[in-house]
Amino acid sequence: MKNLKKQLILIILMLACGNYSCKKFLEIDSPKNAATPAEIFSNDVIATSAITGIYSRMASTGAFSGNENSISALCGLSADELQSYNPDLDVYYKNEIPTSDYRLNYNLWSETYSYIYTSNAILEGLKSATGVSNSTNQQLEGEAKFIRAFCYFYLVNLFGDVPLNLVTDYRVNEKNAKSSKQIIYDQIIKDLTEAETLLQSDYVTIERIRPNKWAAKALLSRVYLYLEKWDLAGQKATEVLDQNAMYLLADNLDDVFLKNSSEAIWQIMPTQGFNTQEGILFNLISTPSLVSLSSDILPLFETGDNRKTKWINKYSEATGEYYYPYKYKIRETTNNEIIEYSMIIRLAEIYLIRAEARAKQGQTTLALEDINKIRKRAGVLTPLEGLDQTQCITEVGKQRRLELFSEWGHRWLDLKRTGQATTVLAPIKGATWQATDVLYPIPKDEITRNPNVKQNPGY
Amino acid sequence: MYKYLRKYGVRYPHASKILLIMRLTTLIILGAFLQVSATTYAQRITLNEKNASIANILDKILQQSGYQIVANANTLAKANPVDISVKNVTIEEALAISFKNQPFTYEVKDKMVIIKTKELSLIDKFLNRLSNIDVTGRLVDTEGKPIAGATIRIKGTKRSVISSPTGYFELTNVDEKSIVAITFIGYKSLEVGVKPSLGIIVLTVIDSKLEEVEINAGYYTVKDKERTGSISRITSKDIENQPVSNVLAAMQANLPGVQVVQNTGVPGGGFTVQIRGQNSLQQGGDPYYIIDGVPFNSVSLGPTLGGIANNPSPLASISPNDIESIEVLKDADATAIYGSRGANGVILITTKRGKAGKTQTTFSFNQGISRVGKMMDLMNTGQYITMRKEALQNDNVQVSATDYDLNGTWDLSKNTNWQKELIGGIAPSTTIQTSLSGGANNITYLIGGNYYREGTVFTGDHSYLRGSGNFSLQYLSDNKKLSISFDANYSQINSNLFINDLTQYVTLAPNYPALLDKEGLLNWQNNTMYVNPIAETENPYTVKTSNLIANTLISYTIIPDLKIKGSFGYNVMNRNEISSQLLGSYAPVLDYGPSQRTSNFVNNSNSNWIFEAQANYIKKFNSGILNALVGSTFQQGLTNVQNIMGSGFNSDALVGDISSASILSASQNTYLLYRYTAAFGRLNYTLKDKYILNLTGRRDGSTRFGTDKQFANFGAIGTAWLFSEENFIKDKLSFISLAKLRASYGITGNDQIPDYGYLALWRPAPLYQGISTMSPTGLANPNYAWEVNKKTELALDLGLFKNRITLSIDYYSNRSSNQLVSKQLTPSTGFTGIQDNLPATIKNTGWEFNLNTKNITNKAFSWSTAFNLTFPRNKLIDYPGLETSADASKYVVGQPISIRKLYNTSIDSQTGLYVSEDYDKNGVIDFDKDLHVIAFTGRKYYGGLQNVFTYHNIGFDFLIQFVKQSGISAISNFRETPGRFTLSNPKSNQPTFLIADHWKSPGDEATYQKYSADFPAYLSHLYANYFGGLAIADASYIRLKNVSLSYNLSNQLLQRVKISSAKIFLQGQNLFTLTHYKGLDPETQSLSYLPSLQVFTAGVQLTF
Repeated sequence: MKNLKKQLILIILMLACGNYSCKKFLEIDSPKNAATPAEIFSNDVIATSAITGIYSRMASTGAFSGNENSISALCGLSADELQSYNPDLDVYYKNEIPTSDYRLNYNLWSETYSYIYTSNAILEGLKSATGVSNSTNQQLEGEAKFIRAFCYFYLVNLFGDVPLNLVTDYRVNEKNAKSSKQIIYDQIIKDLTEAETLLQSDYVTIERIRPNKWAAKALLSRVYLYLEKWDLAGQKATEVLDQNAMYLLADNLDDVFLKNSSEAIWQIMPTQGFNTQEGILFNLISTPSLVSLSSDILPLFETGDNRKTKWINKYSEATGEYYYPYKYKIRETTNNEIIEYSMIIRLAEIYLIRAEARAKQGQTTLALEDINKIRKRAGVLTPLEGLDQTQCITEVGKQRRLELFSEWGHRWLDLKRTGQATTVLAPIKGATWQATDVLYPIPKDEITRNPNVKQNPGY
Repeated sequence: MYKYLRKYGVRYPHASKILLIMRLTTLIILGAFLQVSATTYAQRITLNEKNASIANILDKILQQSGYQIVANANTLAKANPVDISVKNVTIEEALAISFKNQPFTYEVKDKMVIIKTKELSLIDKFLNRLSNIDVTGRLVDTEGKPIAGATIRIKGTKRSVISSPTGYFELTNVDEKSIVAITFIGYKSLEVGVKPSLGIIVLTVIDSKLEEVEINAGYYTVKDKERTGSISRITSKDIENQPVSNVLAAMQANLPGVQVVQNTGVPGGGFTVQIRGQNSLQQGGDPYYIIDGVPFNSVSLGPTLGGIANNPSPLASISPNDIESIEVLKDADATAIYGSRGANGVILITTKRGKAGKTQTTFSFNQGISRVGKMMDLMNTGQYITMRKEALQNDNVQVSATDYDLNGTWDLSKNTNWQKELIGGIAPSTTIQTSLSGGANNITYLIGGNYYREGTVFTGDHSYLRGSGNFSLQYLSDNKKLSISFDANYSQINSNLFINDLTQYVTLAPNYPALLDKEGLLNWQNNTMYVNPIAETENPYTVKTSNLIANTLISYTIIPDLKIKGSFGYNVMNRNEISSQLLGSYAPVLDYGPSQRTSNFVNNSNSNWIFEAQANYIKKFNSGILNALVGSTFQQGLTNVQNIMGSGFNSDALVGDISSASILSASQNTYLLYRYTAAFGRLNYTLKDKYILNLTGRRDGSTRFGTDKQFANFGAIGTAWLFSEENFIKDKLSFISLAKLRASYGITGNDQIPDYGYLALWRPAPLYQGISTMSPTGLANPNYAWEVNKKTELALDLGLFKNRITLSIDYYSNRSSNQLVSKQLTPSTGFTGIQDNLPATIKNTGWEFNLNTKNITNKAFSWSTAFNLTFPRNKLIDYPGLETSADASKYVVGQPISIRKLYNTSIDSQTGLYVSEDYDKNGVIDFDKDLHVIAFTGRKYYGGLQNVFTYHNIGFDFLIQFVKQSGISAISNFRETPGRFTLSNPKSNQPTFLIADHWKSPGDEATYQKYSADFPAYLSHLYANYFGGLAIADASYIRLKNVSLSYNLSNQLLQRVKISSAKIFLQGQNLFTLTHYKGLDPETQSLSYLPSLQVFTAGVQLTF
């Protein structure tokens, strides 16, 4: 009894004085269903899962997915590619986007910035990573920089001047003012140039769904093209085009958008157990409820251009005929078979970038060489010859429209960068078109919560 | 000494022997020790002492002789002082001199001196006997129930006995001139002159709660009279009068400053409890619950399927019958010792424990029925069709092919009162409770069991069942130094309710087809019905909740003034839910396939353990008493939720079997670990029984904060001045029996924020290339800190005419700042918000009144009244940056935080539609400046009035609750626009008050817009009802909350069948409500959730 009492007293006193261990007691592990940054960058596998997290989210829904909320759909509507059948989408078609749009426009902005945040977090994490091997560290750094550049490319093209956030610290970012397009582009070039050397030549997995060195060069050539640095654009394009062991134009138009097609430089793999979101969005099986392809494009195809028949399809019913992009053939996934991946950068664009760069530099013959490659692949076997520089440039523009329609807003961005937006769109859109519509409005929350960010003109 | 113990010593013989042996042992051990050191001494004794204590003398004899001395300390205490002067004498001689004048004698045996009580000579005994008498009596309470365990002491002596379980006591050989004092905790002490038969002595309960009642303040107890903090309390007596299944319901209207709102009348349903207002803009406002020292998760069990129970209350696991008392700590003085969790008040629940005495068995049974007390006035078919036709006419459209309610597809003459049909049932309830308690002095125990079953007022056979068991064991060592107690409470709730409350369907069109056909099968009326409420009730939804609370407390008195305590508590609650959607529950017209056959399997577990150690020190000084306490806490909580959804079952029969699903997906999995540690202390000094100072403090650490912000200090100062102890009151105003001024100020905190908010966590995102991916889920903010709540209180406690009238007036003022909010961020940061501190300040002030009067007290009849009243006020004092935040449409600085900002709506007398005012004249009705009408929602004042009557064996009492408030209007609960009918949502019936007061033709001035089914009407209806002038309405009410009538059966009758008491009772809850509120219930203010029900029960309680 006496002993028991003594022991009890001892135990109670010991625990009572146990405050010394309070700090230690409060050191808890991160939750079992989540990981801290330190854990994320503790080994190659989990660090890689951080970067693939971006691709997985891009593929799911939203701005980068190819569905009705995506850049492909919205920019297609803003330009002259797509028709709208939905009130939310109408505002894009009419170029009357409300600043308070809490869905589409807001998502374009916030989602892109969330990938930028993740890239920044990965870059910061890799710097202090302990358990990540050098080669993986390098590859992931390259991918993160590539993604950041890719995101800023779309931000700067959709919204104009935007805040340049390169760290994860919200206290810095929440006060960040807009940076000029020039500064954003400088950063994009810096990131891509670094990515170019960091990334491996081969894809890290057999599939072409994580960017490699050539993807960085391809995007860089596009950026130089947009900046009208023709020689650099051409140079980077050539570096990619020279990789003919890896990249070839697919002979058959039906093969272009298949997974890991020979033309694919970077694709995103669908994650939801379906084929691509583009396939689900565009392929019509009933009266369109979201979008259809504007028939304006049809007369532009030359006779024999198989893109008109192989990449465009038609749904007919009593109320009328509706055209739709038919690049992705699969709407309903059967037997869980995924045969198409969402194409982000492909070889045909690089040919056209070089063609444009060459044409701008007066190398019309060389430009036509590239143009004719694309035309030939489309089934137009008579090569174009003897075009002058202006004709050549026009032809590249036309080929870009015919080749890249409904893909990643190429048409919308081309109209804007070549200064044709108002000329082309005002007659189509009518009174709703204003010259300031070339930029989307910055979401209201960004402006009200950060007084340093000013709204774009016209909104 | 042994004699009187032995008289009722049937319970004690062993106990007293143990007592003796232990004491002897102690001395023997003592002697043995001393013997070792004494062996070298001679056995001759030399002593020279004057007026010395016998203990001292014996000590010396022992030292010199090496003898052992065996004595009972009590015997020695009676010794007379000794004068002795001897030199070198034998031990026998020395003893003989020392014991000459002592009232005891001794015996020497084997080097052992045994001291014994002197045997009285025969004559002495005889003489004593002549003047002494034997006294008997029996103690009962005012209800005639025997009082066991009371102490009957002969004044001026140490002799006392304890009354037997039947209340009897007997004292033998008592001086006939002596007086006995009878004391029992909670009852008035009594002194009576002895006589052979004292007969039946009635002990009355102490009038005033203010005197000897010990109040549980968590880490310490305090006499009500001496408390410095604001603590309200209800006891089992208040609870057992109310036929409620959740003890929170019994707290309604009884406690000033405590607002308890029932969210739904469904069994096991949720409650919202708020003590002294809402302190936090966004974070939890729940009080901190502690059951028998174990923190109890007060908020709903994480993300569950929820459904019908509307945030099921975890407290539903505790049977109200098991509860002895509930103390609500309100001000800083009372709550600061709970530091970071005390901001919203603390609710301490103490379960019942055994009392010493003969084994007592109680059994009670009651059977009740519940129903919806009041229905709404909804249109009948005639009125409904008139409304629909008027709408079509207004909209200038014809009856369409899908207007089944008008075009004759459905019977135009059928008139169903869906309220009666769907929620008009009678819900039976049964409560069986039994307990066994008893024990001897050292050990008391209680074992209890409860069974509760409640049906529903809904159609169909659904029930809610709770079984619980509780066990309590207390041990106190003979020397009263060591005490150990163990309490455990286990309950299991099984329910097969359904997931959607049928109340939402009472607005089905009155000519909607019957829900079941003649064969009793689901009716789909030739595929013209899309909705059938009965179909939903057939979807299986089973919930099993088990809950265990266990606590062990060990305390030990090291030295008389210092006591240390250690306690370990554990609480685990598991909730398993299976909710299925049968294919047969969908309207056949929807033509769904097996993929729509789904089941959710949710496993939710929440466990907490707590270890606490503390030391209490009490020191009496000449002028006062110092009470000090220090302690520490270690606590851990773990919540784990797994939700697996299965779909594609092949048959409705298999939906409960997870392995039969063709697709399984996991979602909403939660893992939250929470740890918490603290050191706390209290210093209390009472000077001259008049001036009391109470200091409490706590240093808390919690894992909910970043490394640098984990710890924070909280504390309070409380003072009281018992000015009734001052001579000027005692002399001049003697009718004042108690007058006390209390004041307190202190700081408490709130840590009811999500776990891990300071960590930048990455969570799994969908697979990529078949490999799991990770994505960041939020921004980390390691810098946010505790919400701070500064509480001030000033109070006056008065007792008049020997506390026949007692009155407490409390004024409180709480300012809570450093608000923990999810701060909004620019989306370009990658996220839209972050947990952070906002320098907004909320102030809660209020007045609380509590008046108790004993109006009549005499032997046959008594009447007492209790009245409480609370005036709460809430104000947003400061909110920097409110204008630019998203909260701009919610709050206004200088206004309560419970306001709603509304449009100024009116009826356009030409179009007949509601119009909202474009206040900022910018051409659009937007959510910025146009929401400019400020409507207060919430309580302006509330309280309760209770009257208790007893007449002989009959008890009668009633409780009236009153609430002055505004809330969600009845009309805004009608989601459909008057005049509109859709097949997918056929809840198109409307209240009759529209008939006389709606717009009919241009120029009409009406309250409600025209009947119309078109889109503009729908939009204006929406604006006016949710964001406009019709959204908020007066929801005040006066409710006859409780009536209880009881009768105690007479004792003679019962004793023949060995029942010591029997009570039969009738109770009623929510019997009558007076209100202007037009909806179903001004308390729930909802048409989606069942109102709080009217309950009638009859029962019997037996004690053996």
